[in-house]
Amino acid sequence: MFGLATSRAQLPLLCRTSFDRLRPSLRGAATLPAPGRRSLWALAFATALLAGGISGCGEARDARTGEVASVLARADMPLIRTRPELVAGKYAVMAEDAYSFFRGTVPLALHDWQANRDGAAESAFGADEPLVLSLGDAHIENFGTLRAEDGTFGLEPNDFDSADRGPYLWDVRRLVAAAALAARLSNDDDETAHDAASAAARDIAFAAARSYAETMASLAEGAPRHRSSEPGTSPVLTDLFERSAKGSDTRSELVDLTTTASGSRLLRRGIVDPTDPRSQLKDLPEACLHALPAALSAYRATLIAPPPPSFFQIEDAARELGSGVASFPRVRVLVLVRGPTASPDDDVILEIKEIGDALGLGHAPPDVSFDSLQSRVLHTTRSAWATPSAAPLWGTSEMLGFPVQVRLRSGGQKTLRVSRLHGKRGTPEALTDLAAHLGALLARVHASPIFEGDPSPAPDVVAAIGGDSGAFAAEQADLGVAAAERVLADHQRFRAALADLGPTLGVVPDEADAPSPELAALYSGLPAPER
Amino acid sequence: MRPRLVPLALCALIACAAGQSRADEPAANVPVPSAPSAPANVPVPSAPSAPANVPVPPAPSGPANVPVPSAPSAPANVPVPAAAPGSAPGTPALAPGEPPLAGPSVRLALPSWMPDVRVEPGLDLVAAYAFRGTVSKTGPFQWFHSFEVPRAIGIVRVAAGPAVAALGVEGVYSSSEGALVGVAGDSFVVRIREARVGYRLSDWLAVDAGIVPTLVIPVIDAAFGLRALGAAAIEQRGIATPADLGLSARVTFPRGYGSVAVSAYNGEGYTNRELNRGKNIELAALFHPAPGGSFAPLGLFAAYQNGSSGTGLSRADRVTAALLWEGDRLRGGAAFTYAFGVADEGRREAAVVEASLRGEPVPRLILAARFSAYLRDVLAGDDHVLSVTGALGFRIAPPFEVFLALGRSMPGPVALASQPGSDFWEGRTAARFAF
Repeated sequence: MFGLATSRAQLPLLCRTSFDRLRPSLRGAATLPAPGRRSLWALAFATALLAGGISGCGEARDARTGEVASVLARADMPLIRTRPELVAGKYAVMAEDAYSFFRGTVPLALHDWQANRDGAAESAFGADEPLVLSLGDAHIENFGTLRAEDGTFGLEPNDFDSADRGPYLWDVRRLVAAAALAARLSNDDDETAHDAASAAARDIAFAAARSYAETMASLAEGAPRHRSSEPGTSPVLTDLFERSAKGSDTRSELVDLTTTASGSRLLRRGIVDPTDPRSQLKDLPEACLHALPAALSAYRATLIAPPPPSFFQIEDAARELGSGVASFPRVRVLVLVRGPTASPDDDVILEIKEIGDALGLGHAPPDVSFDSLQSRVLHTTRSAWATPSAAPLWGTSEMLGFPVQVRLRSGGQKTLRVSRLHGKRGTPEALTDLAAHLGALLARVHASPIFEGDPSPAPDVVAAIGGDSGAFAAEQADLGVAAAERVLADHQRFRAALADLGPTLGVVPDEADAPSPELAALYSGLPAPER
Repeated sequence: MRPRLVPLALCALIACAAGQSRADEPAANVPVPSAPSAPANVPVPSAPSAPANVPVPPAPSGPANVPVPSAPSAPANVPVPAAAPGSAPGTPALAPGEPPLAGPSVRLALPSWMPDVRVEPGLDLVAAYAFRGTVSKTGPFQWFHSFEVPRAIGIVRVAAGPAVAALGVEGVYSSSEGALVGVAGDSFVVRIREARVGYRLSDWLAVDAGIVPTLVIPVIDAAFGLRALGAAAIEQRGIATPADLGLSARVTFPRGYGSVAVSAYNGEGYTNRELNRGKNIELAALFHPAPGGSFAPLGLFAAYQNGSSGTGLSRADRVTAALLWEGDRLRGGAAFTYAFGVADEGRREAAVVEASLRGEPVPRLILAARFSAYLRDVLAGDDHVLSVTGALGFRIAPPFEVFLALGRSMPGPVALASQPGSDFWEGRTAARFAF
C-alpha cells in the first residue's frame, strides 16, 4: 500500500529533475563507480574559472545606470530588433535634454512604481485604486489645443498612446513630477528666473495636486465638466491659445509642410526643419501608397460626423521621420487630402501614426479593457475630452497591418512646450497657474465614466483622497519633487549608458530580425545619430 | 577574470571531462540491477506487476517497422547499463546513466556503424478552469473566469549510445499578458522549451548543451509534485527561469547520496535573447543523507547563481536552500531563495519562502497545501505578497489526476499598489496528464 501513492514512477517525466537522470538509486540498491578524485578537482577548478570569468562580474557601471539601460532597452526590444535606426534616433533625442528624456521614460516610471522606488507606489490615499480612465502619460507636453467642430479651441489631452484603464494616482503622480521637472528646466536663458522657478518646484507640484483634488471634489458633487476654451489669466495658456489662433489663421502647416506648383499642392520632401536634420519627409514606399485608400476609408468610418468621401481624396503622401519622442520609432505618414473643395487652399493634412500597446500597471483579469488598440484610442479620446467632437478628425484605422491613429495635422493645434517656459511664462506664478489648470483638467478626465453607462469614478476618488486635499497634495508634491530629481539624475545616467553601450543601449540588431523590404523602406532614411 | 580567460576555462572543463577515463573503463563496475531488485526510485516497478500507468511496450511484439533488438528481455524503460560506449552495434544502446523513462519507447535499427537509437516521448498537459475574484476596497467585487491550458509540453528524448539529445516544445499564448497583438490574434502557439545535446561519459558524469533545464525549479517542482496547481513561486515571481541557453554538467554521487551540478547560461531565460556579456553560473547540490534507510526520501538541496540580466548587466544572484521529502505517499518540503538583484534592478534584494505538502491518506486521494511568501524588497521592509492554496485531488487513472483548489493571494499595501489586482481569491480545477 505504501507504494501505491505518489511514487516517483508516477511523477510526470517533465517534472523530474535532471538529477533524477543520474540517480539510479535513491535508496542505495545500486552502486555507481566513484568519480576519480583527479576529475573532481578538475571539475571544481573549471567551475571556479567559469564562475569568475564569464559571469561578467566586475563590470564598472553603477547599478542604477544598468537598471535604466536594461529597463528601457527591454521595453523597446521589439522596435530595436526591427528598426534599430529609429530607436537610436529616439535615444538620441532623449539624450539631448532632460524633458525629452522624461517623455521617453514611461517604462522606467512604471518599473520604478512596481519596485516602489523612493516610495513611488506608497500612498495614504489609495495607490492601487480606484481605477479611472487614465491618460497613462499625463505630462505637460501631452496637453494642447484641439479645435472642435464649432471652430473653437479647447485645452485637452492630445496624446493617448498610453491611455487605458488604470489607478488614478498614476496619472496624478506623473503630472506632478512633470510640473516639478518643468520648474527645474524652465528659464534656461535666465539664471535668476531659473533659480526662482526651481525653488518653487514643490509649490508648483503642490498646486497641480491640490487643484486635482479640489476639482475632483466638485465634480463628485455634480459640477459640470468644464472645457477650457479660454486662456484666462495664465501667461502660458495665453501664449498657447494665441499660437493656435495664429497658426489656424495662417494655415501654418500648409506653409511649413507643403509647396504648390502648377495650381496643385504637394507635401515637401527632405528636411522640414533646418534646425533639426532628423525632421524629414520622404517618399512613401509603393506598398504603403497602395494601402492608403483603404486605410482612409476605414478611418472615415470611425469618425462621429465624417466629411464626404471626396474630402479624403489623396493629393500626396509622405513618410514623416523624426517626430515625437516616445513614438519616434513609430511609423508616421502625412497624407495631403483634398479637403472641403478642390482648391489647394483648403487642402488638409492628416497624420497617420502607428499605435502600440499601452503600458500600464495592470489590474484584475482579464487585464484588458478594450478589444483592440484602435478601440482603446477611440474610446479614451472621446471619453477624456470635454466633448467627443473636440477633435472631429481624430479616428483610427489599419495600414499595412499596423494599427494606426489618424488625426488632423494643423498649425492651429498647438502643444504646451516646456522649452517655452521662460520670461513671463516662466515665473513661479505662471508655472503654478499652469499646474493648477492641468490638475483640474486631469480631474475632469478622470471623472469621466470608464464605459458608457458606468457611474463616474469621481466619488470613489474623492473617498480615496479624503477630506484633506492639502495632505494629499503635500504627499504628491514631495514625491513629485523626488521624481523630478531622479529624472535629472537618470538623464545623466542614460547619456552615460548610451556612450558606454551604444546607440541602441547594447542590443545588437540581428540580421534574422530584418523586416521585409517594404517595411525596411518604411523604417529607413534616418541619419545615424551623432555619438 | 576577463573574457580572454574564457577559453581557458572551457578547456579546463573539457580536460576535466576527458580526464576521468578511469571511471569509464570498467563496464563491469556498473552494477546491473536485476529486475526484481530495481531501486525503488526507478520509475518502474517490478516487471511482473507493472502498473497501468507505466506503459511498457511488449518487447517481442513490437511494431513490424520498428525492430526491437533481441537481446534485452528487460522492459524498455528499465535501465540497461551494460551497453558501454563502443559496444557492438545492435545491442540495446541506452547510454549508461541515461535515465529510464516511464513512457513508451521505440528502438530503431540503424546502420551498423551507429548504435541503436532510442526515442522516448514525454507529455505534460494541464487543463484548468479558474475563477478569480479580485478584492476591491472602493469598487464592486470583480470576478473573472476562464478555461485555461496553463501547461502543454511535449518532449522527445533520443539516446544513441552515450550520446543523448532532447527536444521539448510548449504551448504558449503568442502575446504577453495584456498585449493585444500576437500571432493571428492571440493564438496558442508552440515554442521550444528544451533543446539539448549531451554526452554521458559514464554513470556519474553528464554534460548537456543547448536550451537546458536550470538547476533549481525542476528540483522544487519534482519534489513538491503540485505543478498542476501552478509553477513554483520563484518562477511565478520572475526570480528564476526553468530553462536557459547554456551548458550543464552533473556529477552523481555513488550509492544514491545525491549529485552536484554546475551550469553556465546566457541568463535571460529561454524566452529571451542574450543581452549582455555576462553569463550566469549556477551551482547546485542535492544531498540525500540516508539513501538506504527510512529517511531515503529526505533531500537537502542548495544552489547558488552568480548572474546578470539586461543590457545594463544588472546583478541577478540567487541563493537557494531547500529541505525536501520525496516519499511515496507524502512529499513536499520548504525552499528559501534569496535574490540579489531583481527585474533589472541590481540593488534590490528579494526573498521567496515556499512550502508545500502533498499527501495521500488513502490510495488515489490527494490532499495538498502550498504556501509562499514573496518579500519583494527585503531592504524596504513591509513589501510582500503571501499566497496560500489548499487542494483536494484524485488520481482517476494514472497518470491522470484532477485537483480542486482554493487559493488566496494577499499582498501588502505596497505590493498591492505596485501590482493592482494582486489581492484575490481563486478557485481552480485542474486536470493533468503527464508521463
